[in-house]
Amino acid sequence: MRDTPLEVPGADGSGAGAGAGAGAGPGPDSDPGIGTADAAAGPTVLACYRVTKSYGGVLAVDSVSLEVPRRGLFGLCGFNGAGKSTLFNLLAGSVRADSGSVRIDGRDATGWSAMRRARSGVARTWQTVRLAHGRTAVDNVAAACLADPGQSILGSLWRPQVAPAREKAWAALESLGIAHLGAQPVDGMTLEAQRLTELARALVSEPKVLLADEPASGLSAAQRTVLAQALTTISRVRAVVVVEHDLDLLTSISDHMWALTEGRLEYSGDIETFRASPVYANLRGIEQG
Amino acid sequence: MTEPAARDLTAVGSPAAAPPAGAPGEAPGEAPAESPAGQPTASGVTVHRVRRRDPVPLGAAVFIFVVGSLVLAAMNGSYTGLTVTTGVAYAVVTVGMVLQLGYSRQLAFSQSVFMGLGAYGTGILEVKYNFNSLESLLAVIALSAVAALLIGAVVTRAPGLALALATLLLPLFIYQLATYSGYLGSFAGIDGVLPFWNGSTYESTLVRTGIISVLLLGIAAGMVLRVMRSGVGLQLMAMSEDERLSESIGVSLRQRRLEIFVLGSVLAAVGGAILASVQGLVTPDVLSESAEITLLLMVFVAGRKSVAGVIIGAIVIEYLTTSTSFISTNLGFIEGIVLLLVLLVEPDGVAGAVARLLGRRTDSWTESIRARSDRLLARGGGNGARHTA
Repeated sequence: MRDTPLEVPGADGSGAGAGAGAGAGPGPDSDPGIGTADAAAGPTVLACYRVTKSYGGVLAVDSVSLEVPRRGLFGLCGFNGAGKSTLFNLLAGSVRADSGSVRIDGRDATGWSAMRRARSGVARTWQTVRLAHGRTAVDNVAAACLADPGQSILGSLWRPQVAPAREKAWAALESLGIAHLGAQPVDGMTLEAQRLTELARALVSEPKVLLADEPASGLSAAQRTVLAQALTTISRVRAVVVVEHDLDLLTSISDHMWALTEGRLEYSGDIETFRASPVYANLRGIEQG
Repeated sequence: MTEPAARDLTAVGSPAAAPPAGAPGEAPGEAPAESPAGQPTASGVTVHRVRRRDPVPLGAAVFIFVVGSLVLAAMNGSYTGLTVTTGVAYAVVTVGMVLQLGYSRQLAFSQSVFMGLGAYGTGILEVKYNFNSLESLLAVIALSAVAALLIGAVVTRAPGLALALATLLLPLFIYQLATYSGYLGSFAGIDGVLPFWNGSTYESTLVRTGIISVLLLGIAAGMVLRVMRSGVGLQLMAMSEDERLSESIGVSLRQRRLEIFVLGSVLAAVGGAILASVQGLVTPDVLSESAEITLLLMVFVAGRKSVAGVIIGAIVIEYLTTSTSFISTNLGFIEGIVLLLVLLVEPDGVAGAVARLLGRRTDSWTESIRARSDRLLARGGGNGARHTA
C-alpha cells in the first residue's frame, strides 16, 4: 500500500514510510533495547521505557521500551499472548505498569489515568468493537470530541456543547466515507461500519497517537483494503500504532515494525529487514500452520 | 462494503473537516438534534446540518407546568387532587432517577434517604426554626447538595454492585435513626409543615401548592432533559455502556459519577420537600426501604429511561396505591410481584414497550417512503441530491 501512497495535502513528504531505522536503535537515554523508529518522522510523541506488567506471576510485558514519533504507521505483531494488547493498555493507561515509565510529549505520564492520557492525545480502538448500543454513529463519535470534556453537569445546562460536537462527528464520519450511516443506530450496522465508526471516534479528537488494536479483525479482504487505505492516509499526519495478526496487511502498511515474543521486544526495525528476520519467519511459520 | 475511504483523512477531526458552524438559515446558539441528510454543496463538501437550538427541555418544562396546573385547578383541591400532587412529589424524585438509574445506570438506591432529608429538613426548618416555605426549600436544596457531595465522595468510588449495596444500607440506618429520635418526632414525625402557597380555603391552598409543585417538577424535568441531550449526556451514555471505553475518550468517571449522584439526590430532596408541604407533616415512612421499593416500581414499570414515562408512572402508581384499599393493604406484596415481572419481561417498562411498538411502525413507514423514493429516482425523478456520502 505504501508503494502507491495517497497524495495528501499538508503532508510534508518526509513521511515515516521512507525506511525506518533498522534494529533496536538507541533511545535518548542510550538504552540499546529501545524500539525507536525513524527520527525523520518527527520528535517522540509517545514513549515507554522498561515497562513491565505481570498477572499472577506471569510476565505479560517484560521491560519493553518503545518510542513513537509524531507521524507514521507502526506495526506491532506477535503471537497470541505475546503482550500486544497489554502493552496497548499500558500505553493508553487502562492498566498500570508494575514498573517502568510512560511519557507523552516528553512529560512523565506514568501515573496518569486513561482519561488524562486520552485528553493528552492518546486515542485508541479496541480488539472487540466498543460502541454505545442504541445510539447513532454520530452520537457515538460526538461523545469523544466535546470542546470541554471536563465541563460540569451544571455547566451543561447553559452550554450543552453538543451541536459543535455533532458537527465534528459528521465531518469525521464523512472523512471515513460513512456519513450516510451517521444517523443510524450502531447496532444494525455491519462490523466494518462499526469499526470505521470506532475509528472516527478515535480520530475526531485529533489525537497525537492512535492505538488501533486488531482493527482488521473480522473484516473481509476487500474491507481490509479500505481499512488499510484509511490507516495509511491517517498516518501521514499523526502516529498510528497498529496491532494486527494479519502480517501481510501489517507489513504492507507499516513504516516500522515491532515484534513481541513472550512479553519482550524481540524486533524493532524497518519492514524489509523484518521480512528477512527469523522473527518474521517464525511468525509466518505459525501463521501458515 | 461501504464507500472507499479515499478522502482527506488527514483532516479527520480538524476544524477544516468540519462544516461551517452555522448552516444558512439557522440561528446561532447551542443544542442537539441532527439532520441525517447531508447536503452536497457545489464544492463537493457535504454539509451536515446540525440544529443548534434544542426546544425540547424548555418545551417539556412549560408543558408540564401549564398542563399540570390546569389539571390540578380542575380537580379543585379534591382528594384526587391531593393524590396527584403527592404523585408530583414522587415524580420529581423519579425524574432524577431517570438520569441516575436509567440513563447513567448508576446503581444507587439512596433516593428515599434524600427524599427523607428533604421532607425532614423542611419540617424541622419550618416548625422548629420558623423558616418560610421558600427559605426552607432553598436551604434543603443547599443542605442536600452538601450531604450528597459528602456521601457521594465516598460511595461513588465503589463500582457497580458495591455502590448498590452501600446505598441500600443507608435507608435501613436512617429509618432507625428517625424512629428513635425524639428531635425528629419518633414514629409520629413532625406535624405543621407549611404549604408552599396559602389560600383562603383548604382546597385553594392545595391547588396553589400543587401549582408550585408542578412548577418544580417542570424545572426538574427540563434540567434532566437538558443534561441528557447535552454533550455531557453523550459522555454519560458512553459511560453507562462501558466505563473503560468512556475513560479512553476522555470522560472523568469520578467526576461524572459524583455529579449524577448529587443531582439525583438533590432532586430527591426537593421531592421530599414537596411531599412534606403537600401533606403538612413528615413521618419516618418516607425514609423506609419500602419507600425506595415504591420509587423503583414507579421508575421501572413506567420506563427507567423515559422522563415522561416516570412522571406518569409516579402519579398513576401513587393514585392506585391510595385509591383502592386492596392495593394499599397488600402494597408490599403487589409491588414485589409487579417489579419482578417488569424486570423479567420488559426491563424498559411501559415506555420502552410503547417506544418499540412505535419504532416498528416508524420503521415500516420509513421503509415504505424509502422504497417509493427509490422508485421515483429510478424513473429519473428527484433532483439528484440524494446523499450518498
